[in-house]
Amino acid sequence: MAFDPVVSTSIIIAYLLFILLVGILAWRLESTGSLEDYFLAERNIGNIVGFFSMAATLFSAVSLIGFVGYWYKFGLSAYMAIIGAYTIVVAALYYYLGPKVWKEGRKLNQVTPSDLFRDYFESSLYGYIVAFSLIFAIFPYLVVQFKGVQIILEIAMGPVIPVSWGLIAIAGAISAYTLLGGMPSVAWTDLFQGILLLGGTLIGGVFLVLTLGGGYENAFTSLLNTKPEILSIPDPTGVWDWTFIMTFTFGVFLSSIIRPQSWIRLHYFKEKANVRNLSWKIPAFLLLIQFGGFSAVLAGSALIPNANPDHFLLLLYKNNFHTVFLGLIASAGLAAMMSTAGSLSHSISVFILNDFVQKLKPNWREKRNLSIARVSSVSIIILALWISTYDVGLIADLATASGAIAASVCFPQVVTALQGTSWPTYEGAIAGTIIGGSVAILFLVVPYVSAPFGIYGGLYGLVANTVVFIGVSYLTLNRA
Amino acid sequence: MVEDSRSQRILNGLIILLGLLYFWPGGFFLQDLQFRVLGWPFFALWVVAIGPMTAIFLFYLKSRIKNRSEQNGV
Repeated sequence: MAFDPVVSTSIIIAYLLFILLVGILAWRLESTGSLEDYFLAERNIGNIVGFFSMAATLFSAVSLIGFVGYWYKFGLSAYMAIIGAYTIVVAALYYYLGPKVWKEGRKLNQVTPSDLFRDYFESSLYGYIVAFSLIFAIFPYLVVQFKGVQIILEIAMGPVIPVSWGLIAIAGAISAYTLLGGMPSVAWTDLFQGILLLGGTLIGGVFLVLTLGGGYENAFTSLLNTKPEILSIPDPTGVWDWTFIMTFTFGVFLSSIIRPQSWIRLHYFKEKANVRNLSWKIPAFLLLIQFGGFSAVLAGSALIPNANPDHFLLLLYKNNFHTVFLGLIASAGLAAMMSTAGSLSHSISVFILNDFVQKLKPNWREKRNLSIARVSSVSIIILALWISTYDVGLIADLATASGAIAASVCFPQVVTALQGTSWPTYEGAIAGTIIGGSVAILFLVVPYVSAPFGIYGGLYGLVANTVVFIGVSYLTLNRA
Repeated sequence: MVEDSRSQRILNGLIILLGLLYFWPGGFFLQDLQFRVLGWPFFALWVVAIGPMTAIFLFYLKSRIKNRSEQNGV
């Protein structure tokens, strides 16, 4: 099918202008301009906007390009690990811990995990350590969003506009609405981006099976004849066996509630019931998206057998359909990435302001603080954009490592603080965070070091944190 | 309410059972690509749709019961 880069570029530009308009309207109509508004939209977001904003934030370049690339490369093994994690582990976290985070936030005016720890451990030092560690852990997640944008622009816009210009335009659009409107703008743009993401991936995936694969029955028959190994466990590479699937599930996804963009959003809901309902709404949203993603793999993995996994979905559209469809799916992809990038840069700026600036300089005026938040948000976007121009490997690999490091840094401490457990000490918490984070980095980031026994490297960090946290807490308990 | 708390315990049990069925060991024994349902190999249908949808439904019930209890002041 002939590819017309002018048509796809026009669709992408129209989409960007639309999102910018929504962000500006939300800023003009919804924002009060206060710091509490920039942080949490005055803790007054309703059910529908709140849910779509949370969903659009969670589902990003990783969900659209990265996870579909995983199904394409590793098949059902990776699907079981990730969808199983969302429908059981993530659901349980939102059900049991989500309402507690919301309640503590209302009671003690908390915004970030560091606020929870400052109140619970009565240690400013631990608050700073956690804030710094989470920013460090989550930053790669922002980088992969821009890597995803780059892939989309390369494949969907062709030579019409240089990729670097497109990247700068998109980073500018995200900065503009995040910077002007804070949380209200981010949440309202997320609503539209979430709807487009869901429609684009689910309808697109089913459409691909029906048109390219001749329906699900034929598509499965064809796949069983050509690549049956992607429907079995372990996967074709042999890495994703039962041990790896189970340990990956817990090692990565226990962080889902700790990630700054999710944690901050738990506080903006009007009612606790809305937070608890995320336990089934978030997995349902992901399942619908990834049903579309799996359908695309089912329909197209035999047609494009040796693609870069991160390029597979877009190449499938580009090679087999009219350019308008490519433009639409590219816009859905940009929707996913922009919403997450906007939310992440916003969350990191909230961390910098709430956890460092306001604690170190409590008397600074609100106007100055807002300016600091905006400047940090834009600086973070520029830094992530620059790093994304280097080779960072597979999108889903980097994103899952980022999640695993976040879990290794403070998941056990979050559970004890929310439960109000009596034995933990801040010395134990600090030791656990430092050792856990270091072990996770050793196995996930340091080159040529691999985790033993076929266990996912991030889980070692989580276990190390738990053991050290408990051990040091008991050793220092009497003194505390 | 007593009924709500009993329902929550039953749902917790079902979620744990589903977790075992979805992952190891259940997933191991379900690996039969020849047995087809609705044109899908049953294992694929289980992993892609039935298992996750069942988990979502169980959490929907749990949330609904808990929210109702809280609204009634329990």
